[in-house]
This record gives sequence, C-alpha cells and structure tokens, in this order.
Amino acid sequence: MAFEKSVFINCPFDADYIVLLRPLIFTLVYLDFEPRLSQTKSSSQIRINLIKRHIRESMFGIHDLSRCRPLKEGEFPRFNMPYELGLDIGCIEYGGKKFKHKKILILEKEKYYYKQVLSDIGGQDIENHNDDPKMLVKKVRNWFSALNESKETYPGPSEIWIDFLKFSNGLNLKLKARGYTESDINEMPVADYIKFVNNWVKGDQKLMQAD
Amino acid sequence: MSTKSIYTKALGKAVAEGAKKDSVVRTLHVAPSYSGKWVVVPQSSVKAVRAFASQKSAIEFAKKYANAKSATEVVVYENSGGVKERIAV
Repeated sequence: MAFEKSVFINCPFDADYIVLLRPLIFTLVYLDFEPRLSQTKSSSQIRINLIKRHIRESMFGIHDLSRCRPLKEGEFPRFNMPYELGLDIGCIEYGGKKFKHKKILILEKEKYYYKQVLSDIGGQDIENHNDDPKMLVKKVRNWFSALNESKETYPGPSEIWIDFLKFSNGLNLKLKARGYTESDINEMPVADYIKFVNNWVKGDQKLMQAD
Repeated sequence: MSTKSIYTKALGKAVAEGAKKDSVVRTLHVAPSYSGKWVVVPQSSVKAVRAFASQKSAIEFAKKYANAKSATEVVVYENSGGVKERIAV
C-alpha cells in the first residue's frame, strides 16, 4: 500500500458506530484512498503494534473522538481513541522527516467540544458530523479536497452520498438473496466490507483478471 | 462486531454488477439530500430528477415517475442511510 494513499482510521467498532464507519470507508475508497483499521480480537499488545504500524504507513489519519464520552450512565469514558490520536501526533512531531507532512483530521460530534475539554488540541483540523453520516461524507470529502494539489477535482459530496446509498442497497439485496441475515451483514468484518466497496467503486475488472 | 467472514470473489463480482450504469431505469431512490430536501434519483444517475420538501411528496412523485419510465421499484432511505421501505410499482 502506498504511503500517500493510506488513511489510518481511529474509531470504535461498536454496532452503533457502523452507520458512520461505513460511509467513511466508502468515501475514502471513492476518493481513491486505502482505509486502514485495526479491528482485531488479539491481545492489547498485538493491537497497539498494529496501530503503530498503520500510523507509520499512512500519510493521513482520521480520528473520530465522538464516542469517547460514555453513552449511558454507569459507562466509563473511552480513552483508546485520544491515545491513538496522541500516537499519530507524536509520529509527526518526533518520527523524523518522512512524517512531517502527515495530515490529521479529528472528528467530533458537536462543534468546539474538544477545544473546550482538550485545549491542547488547538491547531489541528477538527470537524463535527452531528452523528449524521451524510455530514461525515461531506466533511471528509471537503478535507481531502482542500489538501488536493492535483488539477483533478474530487466528485461532490452529493454524488458520493447517493452512490453510497445505492451501494448499500445493492450490497444488502445481494447478500440477503444468498441467505445472509441483517445481523450477518451488519456484523461482517470491516476487511470484508472494504473489499465489497473496492469491487463496487473500482469495478470488477480486477476480480475478472484474478480468476 | 463479529469476525465471521462473508466476502468471496463471486459475491464481490455480484455486488459490483450494481455499479454499472444502466440506461434502463429499474429502480428509483428517494434519499435525503444536503439541502434538507428529499430527492428522487434514478439508479442510472447520481443527479436528482426532482427535489421535494417532504419525503411523502418525493415518494408520490417517484411512484408516478416509476410508472412512466417502467421502473419496478422505489427505494426509500432514512436519514441514517438505511433502507426504510421498498415499494414495488
């Protein structure tokens, strides 16, 4: 995977986050980037080593801190995501010349929340999505568009959003026709989902050649 | 999330078939848009045929448009991106 095309995604893998994670993955593939995530049931040591590798091998990092706060009374706050954000910022600061130009986007639910509770975060690119997948698509697309130095412009957010809906509909129909249940589809590994998106966005030529 | 793998090359191919731009309108999509309106979009395009202030009006139009274009289905989405309803026409 090319460093310049790789995007490390730091986010939860909870069932309730899937409505944001899937459009995020779709948007990245649509814009010709390669999402990198650390969904694994391995030990924390293996997991953190995998995360460090993703950070070293990705030019971009998208860190969604919207789920750090406890969602229900009695739940603990979750610090894994701010910790991984810190690792990514540390890589830029201390990692050497190659990493000085890495770019980081921090996502939050409500605007200015993290500037209030984590003031040292100032100076980073922070966008809010209000838990709205459509808004997330737009914010991520526009962030990459602002960084884009080539003459080619990216497809607009509406085009990506409508194609995401069509892809999701088509994926559900095809999988259900083959006997998969709603929960099978919702709980499929992220790596599988990325492959389906890649096939849809980039066409099935590569698959045909591989046969 | 589970780690039960679903993906196969054959399934990937089948899903990718849906990405092909078909000149025949078979499905119409009623989707939330960035303007806050509900848009009616044919399967073959990413551009809306028309936009409506309410989802109900968009569905009514989509049904009529589907009949006129010999489409067979209207898919209505939720704001979350999930499918709310499939209407055979």
